[in-house]
Amino acid sequence: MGATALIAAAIVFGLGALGAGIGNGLIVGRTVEGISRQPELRGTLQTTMFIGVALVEALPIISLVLAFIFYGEA
Amino acid sequence: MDDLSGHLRTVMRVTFFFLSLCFVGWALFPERESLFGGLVLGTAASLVNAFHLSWKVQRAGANAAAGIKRRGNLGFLTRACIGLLAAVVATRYFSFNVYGTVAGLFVAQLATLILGFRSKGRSAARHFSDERGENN
Repeated sequence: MGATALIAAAIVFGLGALGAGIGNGLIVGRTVEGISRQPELRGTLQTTMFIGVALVEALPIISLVLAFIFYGEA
Repeated sequence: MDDLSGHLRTVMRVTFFFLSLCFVGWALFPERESLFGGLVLGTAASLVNAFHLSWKVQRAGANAAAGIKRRGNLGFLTRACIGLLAAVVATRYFSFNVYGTVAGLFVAQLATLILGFRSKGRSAARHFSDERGENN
């Protein structure tokens, strides 16, 4: 149980962080590109970026807490 | 007040409304104290996360608009540690339900998502009727 729980914790947080890293990189990169091209749309693009990053980051935060629970079980 | 500040204000209002519902549930069902306590703690942590994210997004946008080339981050580690801190405080100090805390960590993000889609849908419908000349 101990080793399995530790492996589960590592997998759940590793995959969550990997997905969040890719997603955040895409969102922030495109938003910064858009703001650089059209600075007058900054407010709209920032709001869209906020919504996207909030959506992407919910999963790894939850996975971190789940990994913590698994670690506690180990 | 710009677009993001107004959006954040609406998210804050919805989250506080959810918090008040949790406190009412806590008062009405004292036997479910651990669940409602965990929800309150997780929701408070998620509101702090939302404010931190909006600060980081505004800073990234200001840097991009000013053309400043500087390496920055969105502070994910800080927000993850806030979520972890909420879980640790819920389990070690108050013996709250950790699953309630995890569910509470979703609240501000969920409110952001739903309110964002709703406002985008409204603005799209307004632009569509503008193009047809209904508002002229």
